[in-house]
Amino acid sequence: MSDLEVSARLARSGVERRRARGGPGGGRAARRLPGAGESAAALVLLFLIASALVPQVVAPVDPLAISPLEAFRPPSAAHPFGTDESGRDIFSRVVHGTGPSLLLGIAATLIGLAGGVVLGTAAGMLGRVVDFGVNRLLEVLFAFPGLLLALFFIVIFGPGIVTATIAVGVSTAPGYARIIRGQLLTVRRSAYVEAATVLGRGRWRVLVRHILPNTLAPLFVLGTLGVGQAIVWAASLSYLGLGAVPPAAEWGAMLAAGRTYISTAWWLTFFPGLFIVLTATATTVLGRRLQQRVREQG
Amino acid sequence: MSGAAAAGGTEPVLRISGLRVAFGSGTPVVDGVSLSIAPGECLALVGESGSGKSVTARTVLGLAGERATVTADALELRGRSLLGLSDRAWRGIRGREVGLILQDALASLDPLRPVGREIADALRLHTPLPPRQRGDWVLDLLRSVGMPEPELRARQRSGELSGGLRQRALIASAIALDPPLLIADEPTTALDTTVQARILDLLGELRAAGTAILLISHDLAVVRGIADRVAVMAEGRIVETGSVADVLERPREEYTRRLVRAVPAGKPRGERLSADARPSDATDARGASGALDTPGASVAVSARARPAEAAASAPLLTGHGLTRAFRGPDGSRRLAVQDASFELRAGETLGLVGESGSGKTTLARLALGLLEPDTGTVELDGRPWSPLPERERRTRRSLVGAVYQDPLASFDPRLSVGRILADALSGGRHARPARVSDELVSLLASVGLPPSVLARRPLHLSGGQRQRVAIARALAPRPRVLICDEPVSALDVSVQAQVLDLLDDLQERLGLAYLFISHDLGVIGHVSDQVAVMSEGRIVETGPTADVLAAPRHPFTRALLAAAPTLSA
Amino acid sequence: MSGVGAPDRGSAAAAAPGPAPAGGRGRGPGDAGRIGAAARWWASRVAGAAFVLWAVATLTFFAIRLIPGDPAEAILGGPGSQASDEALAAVRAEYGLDQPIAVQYVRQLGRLAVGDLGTSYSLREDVAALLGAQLPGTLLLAVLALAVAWLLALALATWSTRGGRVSAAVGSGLEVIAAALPHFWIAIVLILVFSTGLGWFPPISTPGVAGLVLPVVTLAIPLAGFLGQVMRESLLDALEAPFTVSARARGESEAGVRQVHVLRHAALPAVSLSGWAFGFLVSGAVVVETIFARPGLGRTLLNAVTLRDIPLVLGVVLVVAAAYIVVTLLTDAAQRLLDPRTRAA
Repeated sequence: MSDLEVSARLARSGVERRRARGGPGGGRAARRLPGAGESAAALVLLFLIASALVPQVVAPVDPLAISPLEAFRPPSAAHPFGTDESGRDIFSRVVHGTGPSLLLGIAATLIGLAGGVVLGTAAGMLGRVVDFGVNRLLEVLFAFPGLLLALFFIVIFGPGIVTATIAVGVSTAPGYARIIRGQLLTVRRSAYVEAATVLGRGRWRVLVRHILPNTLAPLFVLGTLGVGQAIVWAASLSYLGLGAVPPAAEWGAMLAAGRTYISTAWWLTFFPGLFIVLTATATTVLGRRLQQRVREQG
Repeated sequence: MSGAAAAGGTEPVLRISGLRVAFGSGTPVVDGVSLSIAPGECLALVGESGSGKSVTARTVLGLAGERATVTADALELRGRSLLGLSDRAWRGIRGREVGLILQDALASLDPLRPVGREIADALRLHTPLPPRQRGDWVLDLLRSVGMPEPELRARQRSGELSGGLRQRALIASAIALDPPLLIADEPTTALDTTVQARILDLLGELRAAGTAILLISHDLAVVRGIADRVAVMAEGRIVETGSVADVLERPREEYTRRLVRAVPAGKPRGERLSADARPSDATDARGASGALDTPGASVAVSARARPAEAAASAPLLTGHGLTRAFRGPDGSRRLAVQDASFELRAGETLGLVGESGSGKTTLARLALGLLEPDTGTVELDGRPWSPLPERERRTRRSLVGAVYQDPLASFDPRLSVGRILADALSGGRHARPARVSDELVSLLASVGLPPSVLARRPLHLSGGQRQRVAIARALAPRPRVLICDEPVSALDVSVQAQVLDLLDDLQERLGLAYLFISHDLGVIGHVSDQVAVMSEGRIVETGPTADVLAAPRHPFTRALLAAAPTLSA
Repeated sequence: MSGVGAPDRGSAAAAAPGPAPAGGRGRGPGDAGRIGAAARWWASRVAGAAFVLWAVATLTFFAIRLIPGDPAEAILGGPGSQASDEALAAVRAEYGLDQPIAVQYVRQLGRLAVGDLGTSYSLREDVAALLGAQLPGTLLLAVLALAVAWLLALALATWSTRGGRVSAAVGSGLEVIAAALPHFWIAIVLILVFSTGLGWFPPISTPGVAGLVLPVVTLAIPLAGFLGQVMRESLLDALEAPFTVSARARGESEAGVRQVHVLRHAALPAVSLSGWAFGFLVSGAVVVETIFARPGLGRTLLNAVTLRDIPLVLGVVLVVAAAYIVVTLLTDAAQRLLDPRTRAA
């Protein structure tokens, strides 16, 4: 079981209960208005996307402008998040760091998803022998729980932003693989695939028209749920000094840089961390909402 | 029947008058229900899903839910008003004055606790007995409900018991304190026919011992066997009340008449069950036949092939000595189907009846070419079908269609009705949308659906509409054989009647052959020309329906017939 | 979860293709058969666990040969370590790096089999002994965190399913946020508030109870977020299940329904998540022990990774993997014991 599988399972179970309660007309719930939490998550995401695309509009102050006289200023009207050891505006740095940070999270998620798709479809499609083999491989990979696989990967290939991103991706791949395999098997055994066979559709057509779309659609949900977690993991690695390194205005790197000043200047680490928390929470909420749409349409 | 008990002037156990139950600000789910039950009397509350019968029953237990607003002129249990009771007072009544038996005993007993503990709970809550004596009492109770090996069973959990034993355990927990009123909400719906008969016998014994029973059921035939009086419920109101014989044999209200008419048991082949007009008489008859008539049909005829003609024609689908085994989770081989043979002719329906686990569905999958038999062959239209690679079967797949019990699961959840049917019509190729659209409309008309459902997803359709779409899809490639696996088992009786009539019309118009699978002997008896009785993987008896029903030869068929509830007295 | 409370006409038929009810076949062999089944289950699971352990050892053995350059140099901390020729020669001899790789592999397995994890380069100590010394501290941290997380999760889940919509929304909102909190950020906030601000607890984990509080809470909060959500989902499912209806119909009170029936069902999935929780705690321990400067397995691992102390990294990885395998096995066994439904599969 991975974090991802836990999240995916949570996203599923709520929807299913709602559906069980609603009976045949449960689809009506799809059109219900978003709640307060969902609206807040949507606002947060909008803000993050704006920060990623047009940071200079959201935070006009130059994130790289050094002014040693202004170093270590606590949050104030001039510097809402305070300033760092070189007097740079932290709000501006956090906003300008959004793009790279999201990109890292997305990249790691894509790597994990790609690995998961390859392993999962191989297990689900290529017959019993491959399935057995992949399952054993996944069991072995799961024996490196949590960060362990990522850390081991970094030991072999050395620290740095690229390896850290790949490491996070690789360590999430087994979780994706297992979910995808399960989804594939469910779809392959489904009555509608059988119905297509009864109608005389060939294997290839059933695969393209029914199996793949119904297996891959949930990947968007998984990906959304996964991005937030990937950002948290990547930031943790950076914080530990194994990922992005300080000069970059990336959240993890800012954390790593601010780490030494925790007791004197908390705002150096607090605000980048806050943005990570906001991102992770918002993507989780959004992922569940997506899950609901996928389920209730289907 | 002991209708005398009702008229005997004794004080009723339960008296409800003008009961209304609403959830939130919605329209009342129960709207002015009045009824009463005397000691030793069984009143059946009959209705289709959503009629409010279960809510009525739960209200008597104070379990209608937090959001429910309950009002009534009277709601009395043995003369004591139940209106405005405190939680505490309700708890004293539940279990002691009123017992509840629910439909699905597997889910209605805590799957994590031994059934003995579940039964003992009622004693723990209502008596000061020490645990040891409770245990003895539980064993007595289990014996009294006819549970074999009660000591062993008391230690098992509901998942470890068979359906019938589970239901007995649930009954034991409901009657632990010998409540004067027992509410049985669809107590036998999930059970096999023979098991159902035994559970009904048990309820009959309880009634004879003086317990008043409020039986909630959708099944008029079940009601006929056990109830003294019937109250027919629809849309939150009681439509008609009276003795079983009066209501079922001489229904006064149109709704009851339709309900009684919809019951297939005992109705001869071809008799209409629903009040629907035949789709062929409907507006779009021309379009419908355009879409569906088999071109160049040599066997298919516009009028139904009578059994005599059918017998003369060559069989369309045959199975010879089919055997198929599965490996169980513990590695043992289990023969799902053993040495089964059948013949199906054009225009004919072969009904396959049996209990759960008897191998019916496996046989259907063998006939559909979805499973390969271990031994034996299936032939379609005189040519080999089953021992072929799928690639060779594919070209002739259009000859055989399938209709399932759960149509929703058989539709790709991403697709709208229109796309599902267009795909079925196109034969796997991309067809010109305009042409397809005309065909789609006439295809829908042939199953009695308006064109407006094309844009909708099956999820948003009713159960009956979904099954009609499934039938339309099966018909789209112009098959000559339809394999229907429990096609009406999940439907309300009036919807079931419509679907059965539709299948009958289509057969008559298109000369289709049906392999019709059901656990319900009443349905099978109505739809089949030939019947095959299946038990433990074998076809134990086969023959013309009338002969088999009138003079069953095999002991299992006899047991099934004896257990099957019917509407006739 | 399907069809709760729905008029399920077709259940008899729906069950048709499945195997006969479990009781049907379980009756014949009786208790002896059940014991046999349990023995078979254990045998296959222990064999599986042994396989995974062997595979982990093999995978790690070959993986460290992916490190570019001289493996001896890598073991001594990489090209930057400027290891002396003697040290390199000693490592080559110790690891048999001059031998064919198959021989090296067999030797490595042999050493692992007797619990010899080699010598840490950076600390110049026996890895097994080193880890033995670090293990109890981390174990204490993890177990306490797990206990706190369970309590928090249970409290939150019970509270948020008891009352109206507001408490439900607040409860689930808190859980989602808690589950999204990175350990390092919680640690920062807790240190700011409780050490720098209030001065209740030391910012550095000193020996003793006071030093444990912040690390334990830091580890427990996100875990409680996940567990709480899982528990609440199953609580809600159980509260709507037909068996609670029949319990109420028997005269059971709301509190009784929860105590006797629902809590057990709510705890089940949380138990089944123990293997995952273990991994989550180990990952968290790396961060938490580093921030609170607390000695333990996690911090040792991070130091080893930073210094590329390969023998030490391998030692921690193998110990954690072995522990994970054992925890998973025990979890499955516990689940089998608690939930008879899982035995059928």
